[in-house]
Amino acid sequence: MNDHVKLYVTNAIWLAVLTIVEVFIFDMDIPRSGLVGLLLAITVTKMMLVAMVYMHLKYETKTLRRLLFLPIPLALFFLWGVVYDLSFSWTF
Amino acid sequence: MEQTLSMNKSFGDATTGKLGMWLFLVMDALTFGAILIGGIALRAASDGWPAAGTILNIPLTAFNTFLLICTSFTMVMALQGLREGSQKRFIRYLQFTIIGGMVFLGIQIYEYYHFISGSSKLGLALASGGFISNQFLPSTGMYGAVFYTTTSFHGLHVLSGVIYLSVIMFQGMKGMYSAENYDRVEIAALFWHFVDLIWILVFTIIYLL
Repeated sequence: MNDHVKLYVTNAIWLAVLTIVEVFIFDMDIPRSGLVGLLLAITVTKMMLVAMVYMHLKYETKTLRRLLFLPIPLALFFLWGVVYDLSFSWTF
Repeated sequence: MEQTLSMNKSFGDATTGKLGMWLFLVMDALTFGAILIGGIALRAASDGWPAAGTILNIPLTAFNTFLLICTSFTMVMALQGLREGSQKRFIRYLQFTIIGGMVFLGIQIYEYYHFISGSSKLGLALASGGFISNQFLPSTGMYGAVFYTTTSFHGLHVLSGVIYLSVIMFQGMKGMYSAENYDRVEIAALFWHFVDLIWILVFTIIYLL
Protein backbone atom coordinates (compact mmCIF):
# COMPACT_ATOMS: atom_id res chain seq x y z
CA MET A 1 0.00 0.00 0.00
CA ASN A 2 1.63 3.31 -1.05
CA ASP A 3 1.46 6.58 0.89
CA HIS A 4 -1.43 8.01 -1.17
CA VAL A 5 -3.60 4.94 -0.66
CA LYS A 6 -2.78 4.91 3.09
CA LEU A 7 -3.90 8.54 3.31
CA TYR A 8 -7.15 7.81 1.43
CA VAL A 9 -7.96 4.84 3.67
CA THR A 10 -7.18 6.81 6.86
CA ASN A 11 -9.34 9.69 5.60
CA ALA A 12 -12.27 7.35 4.86
CA ILE A 13 -12.00 5.88 8.38
CA TRP A 14 -11.97 9.36 9.94
CA LEU A 15 -15.00 10.43 7.89
CA ALA A 16 -16.92 7.29 8.92
CA VAL A 17 -15.99 7.74 12.60
CA LEU A 18 -17.01 11.41 12.54
CA THR A 19 -20.39 10.47 10.98
CA ILE A 20 -20.98 7.94 13.79
CA VAL A 21 -19.95 10.58 16.37
CA GLU A 22 -22.42 13.02 14.79
CA VAL A 23 -25.33 10.59 15.20
CA PHE A 24 -24.14 9.77 18.74
CA ILE A 25 -24.05 13.49 19.68
CA PHE A 26 -27.50 13.94 18.11
CA ASP A 27 -28.88 11.32 20.54
CA MET A 28 -27.20 12.87 23.58
CA ASP A 29 -29.11 15.10 25.94
CA ILE A 30 -27.09 18.32 25.67
CA PRO A 31 -28.15 22.00 25.42
CA ARG A 32 -29.26 23.15 21.97
CA SER A 33 -26.45 25.71 21.51
CA GLY A 34 -23.85 23.06 22.39
CA LEU A 35 -25.43 20.58 20.02
CA VAL A 36 -25.45 23.07 17.13
CA GLY A 37 -21.83 24.10 17.81
CA LEU A 38 -20.56 20.53 18.04
CA LEU A 39 -22.41 19.29 14.95
CA LEU A 40 -21.31 22.28 12.85
CA ALA A 41 -17.70 21.83 13.98
CA ILE A 42 -17.74 18.15 12.98
CA THR A 43 -19.43 19.01 9.66
CA VAL A 44 -16.79 21.62 8.79
CA THR A 45 -14.04 19.12 9.73
CA LYS A 46 -15.56 16.46 7.46
CA MET A 47 -15.94 18.93 4.59
CA MET A 48 -12.32 20.00 4.98
CA LEU A 49 -11.17 16.36 4.97
CA VAL A 50 -13.02 15.71 1.70
CA ALA A 51 -11.78 18.93 0.08
CA MET A 52 -8.15 18.70 1.20
CA VAL A 53 -7.56 14.97 0.71
CA TYR A 54 -10.04 13.59 -1.83
CA MET A 55 -10.26 16.75 -3.93
CA HIS A 56 -6.46 17.08 -3.64
CA LEU A 57 -6.69 20.68 -2.49
CA LYS A 58 -3.70 20.15 -0.18
CA TYR A 59 -1.57 19.56 -3.29
CA GLU A 60 -2.81 22.70 -5.08
CA THR A 61 -1.13 26.12 -4.96
CA LYS A 62 -1.94 28.72 -2.31
CA THR A 63 -3.43 30.99 -4.99
CA LEU A 64 -6.02 28.41 -6.02
CA ARG A 65 -6.87 27.56 -2.40
CA ARG A 66 -7.35 31.26 -1.57
CA LEU A 67 -9.60 31.75 -4.59
CA LEU A 68 -11.77 28.81 -3.56
CA PHE A 69 -12.07 29.82 0.11
CA LEU A 70 -12.77 33.48 -0.71
CA PRO A 71 -16.55 33.04 -1.27
CA ILE A 72 -17.07 31.41 2.16
CA PRO A 73 -16.90 34.68 4.19
CA LEU A 74 -19.15 36.23 1.54
CA ALA A 75 -21.76 33.47 2.03
CA LEU A 76 -21.53 33.89 5.83
CA PHE A 77 -22.04 37.65 5.39
CA PHE A 78 -25.20 36.96 3.34
CA LEU A 79 -26.42 34.55 6.03
CA TRP A 80 -25.86 37.22 8.68
CA GLY A 81 -27.68 39.75 6.45
CA VAL A 82 -30.72 37.50 5.97
CA VAL A 83 -30.96 36.51 9.64
CA TYR A 84 -30.46 40.16 10.72
CA ASP A 85 -33.26 41.23 8.39
CA LEU A 86 -35.71 38.77 10.00
CA SER A 87 -36.03 40.90 13.11
CA PHE A 88 -37.44 43.82 11.11
CA SER A 89 -41.16 44.30 10.90
CA TRP A 90 -41.94 46.53 7.93
CA THR A 91 -44.76 49.02 8.37
CA PHE A 92 -46.22 51.27 5.69
CA MET B 1 -6.79 12.76 -26.64
CA GLU B 2 -4.43 15.34 -25.19
CA GLN B 3 -4.39 16.79 -21.70
CA THR B 4 -5.75 20.31 -21.46
CA LEU B 5 -3.08 22.99 -21.13
CA SER B 6 -1.64 24.24 -17.88
CA MET B 7 -2.81 27.82 -17.48
CA ASN B 8 -0.66 29.91 -15.18
CA LYS B 9 2.25 29.38 -12.77
CA SER B 10 0.09 30.67 -9.90
CA PHE B 11 -2.12 27.63 -10.33
CA GLY B 12 0.71 25.10 -10.46
CA ASP B 13 -0.06 22.05 -12.59
CA ALA B 14 -3.82 22.67 -12.63
CA THR B 15 -5.13 22.51 -16.18
CA THR B 16 -7.71 24.87 -17.68
CA GLY B 17 -10.30 22.09 -17.49
CA LYS B 18 -9.65 21.60 -13.80
CA LEU B 19 -9.81 25.34 -13.10
CA GLY B 20 -13.06 25.49 -15.05
CA MET B 21 -14.54 22.73 -12.89
CA TRP B 22 -13.37 24.48 -9.70
CA LEU B 23 -15.03 27.69 -10.90
CA PHE B 24 -18.26 25.77 -11.59
CA LEU B 25 -18.10 24.16 -8.15
CA VAL B 26 -17.69 27.54 -6.42
CA MET B 27 -20.79 28.81 -8.25
CA ASP B 28 -22.69 25.61 -7.44
CA ALA B 29 -21.64 25.89 -3.78
CA LEU B 30 -23.05 29.43 -3.70
CA THR B 31 -26.33 28.10 -5.15
CA PHE B 32 -26.48 25.45 -2.43
CA GLY B 33 -25.51 28.16 0.06
CA ALA B 34 -28.44 30.31 -1.09
CA ILE B 35 -30.87 27.38 -0.73
CA LEU B 36 -29.57 26.50 2.75
CA ILE B 37 -29.49 30.13 3.92
CA GLY B 38 -33.04 30.56 2.58
CA GLY B 39 -34.06 27.43 4.51
CA ILE B 40 -32.47 28.69 7.73
CA ALA B 41 -34.21 32.08 7.30
CA LEU B 42 -37.59 30.39 6.70
CA ARG B 43 -37.04 28.22 9.75
CA ALA B 44 -36.21 31.26 11.89
CA ALA B 45 -39.34 33.03 10.67
CA SER B 46 -41.59 29.98 11.06
CA ASP B 47 -43.79 29.48 14.13
CA GLY B 48 -43.51 25.71 14.26
CA TRP B 49 -40.67 23.50 13.15
CA PRO B 50 -40.61 19.75 13.95
CA ALA B 51 -37.82 18.56 16.24
CA ALA B 52 -35.01 16.76 14.42
CA GLY B 53 -35.58 13.03 14.09
CA THR B 54 -39.36 13.07 14.59
CA ILE B 55 -40.27 12.89 10.88
CA LEU B 56 -36.99 12.22 9.06
CA ASN B 57 -35.26 8.85 9.40
CA ILE B 58 -31.83 9.64 10.90
CA PRO B 59 -30.30 6.10 10.97
CA LEU B 60 -31.23 5.47 7.32
CA THR B 61 -29.83 8.83 6.22
CA ALA B 62 -26.70 8.35 8.33
CA PHE B 63 -26.18 5.10 6.40
CA ASN B 64 -26.71 7.01 3.14
CA THR B 65 -24.10 9.57 4.28
CA PHE B 66 -21.66 6.75 5.06
CA LEU B 67 -22.38 5.26 1.63
CA LEU B 68 -21.62 8.53 -0.14
CA ILE B 69 -18.36 8.85 1.83
CA CYS B 70 -17.47 5.31 0.66
CA THR B 71 -18.11 6.33 -2.96
CA SER B 72 -15.74 9.28 -2.52
CA PHE B 73 -13.12 6.78 -1.37
CA THR B 74 -13.76 4.42 -4.32
CA MET B 75 -13.62 7.41 -6.70
CA VAL B 76 -10.23 8.54 -5.45
CA MET B 77 -9.02 4.92 -5.61
CA ALA B 78 -10.21 4.69 -9.24
CA LEU B 79 -8.17 7.79 -10.09
CA GLN B 80 -5.17 6.44 -8.17
CA GLY B 81 -5.44 3.13 -10.05
CA LEU B 82 -5.42 4.96 -13.37
CA ARG B 83 -2.42 7.08 -12.32
CA GLU B 84 -0.55 3.89 -11.50
CA GLY B 85 -1.47 2.44 -14.90
CA SER B 86 -3.98 -0.14 -13.70
CA GLN B 87 -7.00 -0.04 -16.03
CA LYS B 88 -8.58 -2.91 -14.10
CA ARG B 89 -8.54 -1.03 -10.76
CA PHE B 90 -9.70 2.15 -12.48
CA ILE B 91 -12.78 0.50 -14.00
CA ARG B 92 -13.58 -1.65 -10.96
CA TYR B 93 -13.49 1.24 -8.47
CA LEU B 94 -15.43 3.45 -10.88
CA GLN B 95 -18.11 0.75 -11.05
CA PHE B 96 -18.28 0.67 -7.23
CA THR B 97 -18.69 4.46 -7.23
CA ILE B 98 -21.51 4.40 -9.78
CA ILE B 99 -23.33 1.57 -7.96
CA GLY B 100 -22.92 3.44 -4.65
CA GLY B 101 -24.42 6.56 -6.22
CA MET B 102 -27.36 4.55 -7.57
CA VAL B 103 -27.99 2.94 -4.16
CA PHE B 104 -27.91 6.43 -2.58
CA LEU B 105 -30.55 7.58 -5.07
CA GLY B 106 -32.59 4.39 -4.47
CA ILE B 107 -32.66 5.07 -0.72
CA GLN B 108 -33.67 8.69 -1.35
CA ILE B 109 -36.50 7.53 -3.64
CA TYR B 110 -37.59 5.02 -0.97
CA GLU B 111 -37.62 7.86 1.59
CA TYR B 112 -39.71 10.08 -0.71
CA TYR B 113 -42.10 7.17 -1.48
CA HIS B 114 -42.54 6.54 2.25
CA PHE B 115 -43.34 10.23 2.84
CA ILE B 116 -45.62 10.70 -0.16
CA SER B 117 -47.59 7.45 0.22
CA GLY B 118 -48.10 8.30 3.92
CA SER B 119 -49.05 6.20 6.95
CA SER B 120 -50.74 6.57 10.32
CA LYS B 121 -47.32 6.33 12.02
CA LEU B 122 -46.06 9.20 9.85
CA GLY B 123 -49.29 11.08 10.64
CA LEU B 124 -48.49 10.84 14.37
CA ALA B 125 -44.95 12.10 13.77
CA LEU B 126 -46.30 14.99 11.68
CA ALA B 127 -48.87 15.82 14.37
CA SER B 128 -46.05 16.30 16.89
CA GLY B 129 -44.69 18.93 14.52
CA GLY B 130 -48.07 20.65 14.22
CA PHE B 131 -49.11 19.21 10.82
CA ILE B 132 -52.46 17.46 10.39
CA SER B 133 -51.85 14.94 7.61
CA ASN B 134 -50.73 11.34 7.06
CA GLN B 135 -48.50 12.44 4.17
CA PHE B 136 -45.33 14.51 4.17
CA LEU B 137 -45.39 16.50 0.94
CA PRO B 138 -43.55 19.55 -0.47
CA SER B 139 -46.71 21.49 0.45
CA THR B 140 -46.48 20.40 4.12
CA GLY B 141 -45.64 23.85 5.42
CA MET B 142 -42.28 25.56 5.14
CA TYR B 143 -40.64 22.45 6.57
CA GLY B 144 -41.76 20.29 3.62
CA ALA B 145 -40.76 22.98 1.11
CA VAL B 146 -37.27 23.36 2.59
CA PHE B 147 -36.72 19.59 2.92
CA TYR B 148 -37.80 18.69 -0.63
CA THR B 149 -36.10 21.67 -2.30
CA THR B 150 -32.74 20.97 -0.65
CA THR B 151 -32.69 17.15 -0.92
CA SER B 152 -34.09 17.00 -4.46
CA PHE B 153 -31.60 19.62 -5.68
CA HIS B 154 -28.82 17.51 -4.20
CA GLY B 155 -30.39 14.33 -5.59
CA LEU B 156 -30.27 15.85 -9.09
CA HIS B 157 -26.56 16.42 -8.56
CA VAL B 158 -26.09 12.75 -7.60
CA LEU B 159 -28.04 11.69 -10.70
CA SER B 160 -25.89 13.99 -12.87
CA GLY B 161 -22.78 12.52 -11.22
CA VAL B 162 -23.88 8.94 -11.90
CA ILE B 163 -24.50 9.78 -15.59
CA TYR B 164 -21.21 11.72 -15.82
CA LEU B 165 -19.19 8.87 -14.26
CA SER B 166 -20.95 6.28 -16.46
CA VAL B 167 -19.80 8.19 -19.55
CA ILE B 168 -16.26 8.33 -18.13
CA MET B 169 -16.40 4.58 -17.42
CA PHE B 170 -17.49 3.67 -20.96
CA GLN B 171 -14.78 5.93 -22.37
CA GLY B 172 -12.30 4.25 -20.00
CA MET B 173 -13.41 0.81 -21.21
CA LYS B 174 -12.56 1.93 -24.74
CA GLY B 175 -9.06 2.82 -23.52
CA MET B 176 -9.42 6.59 -23.70
CA TYR B 177 -7.61 7.15 -20.40
CA SER B 178 -4.18 6.15 -19.18
CA ALA B 179 -1.50 6.98 -16.59
CA GLU B 180 -0.45 9.89 -18.85
CA ASN B 181 -3.96 11.03 -19.70
CA TYR B 182 -6.31 11.25 -16.72
CA ASP B 183 -7.28 14.94 -16.65
CA ARG B 184 -10.94 14.35 -17.54
CA VAL B 185 -11.24 11.60 -14.93
CA GLU B 186 -9.79 13.94 -12.29
CA ILE B 187 -12.27 16.66 -13.30
CA ALA B 188 -15.21 14.20 -13.03
CA ALA B 189 -13.85 13.07 -9.64
CA LEU B 190 -13.87 16.70 -8.42
CA PHE B 191 -17.58 16.93 -9.22
CA TRP B 192 -18.32 13.65 -7.42
CA HIS B 193 -16.41 14.65 -4.28
CA PHE B 194 -18.23 17.98 -4.29
CA VAL B 195 -21.57 16.13 -4.27
CA ASP B 196 -20.34 14.21 -1.20
CA LEU B 197 -19.04 17.39 0.46
CA ILE B 198 -22.37 19.18 0.04
CA TRP B 199 -24.32 16.18 1.36
CA ILE B 200 -22.27 16.30 4.58
CA LEU B 201 -23.60 19.85 5.10
CA VAL B 202 -27.17 19.00 4.01
CA PHE B 203 -27.27 16.01 6.38
CA THR B 204 -26.35 18.20 9.36
CA ILE B 205 -28.54 21.20 8.58
CA ILE B 206 -31.66 19.43 7.28
CA TYR B 207 -31.62 16.17 9.25
CA LEU B 208 -29.70 16.71 12.50
CA LEU B 209 -30.38 20.34 13.46
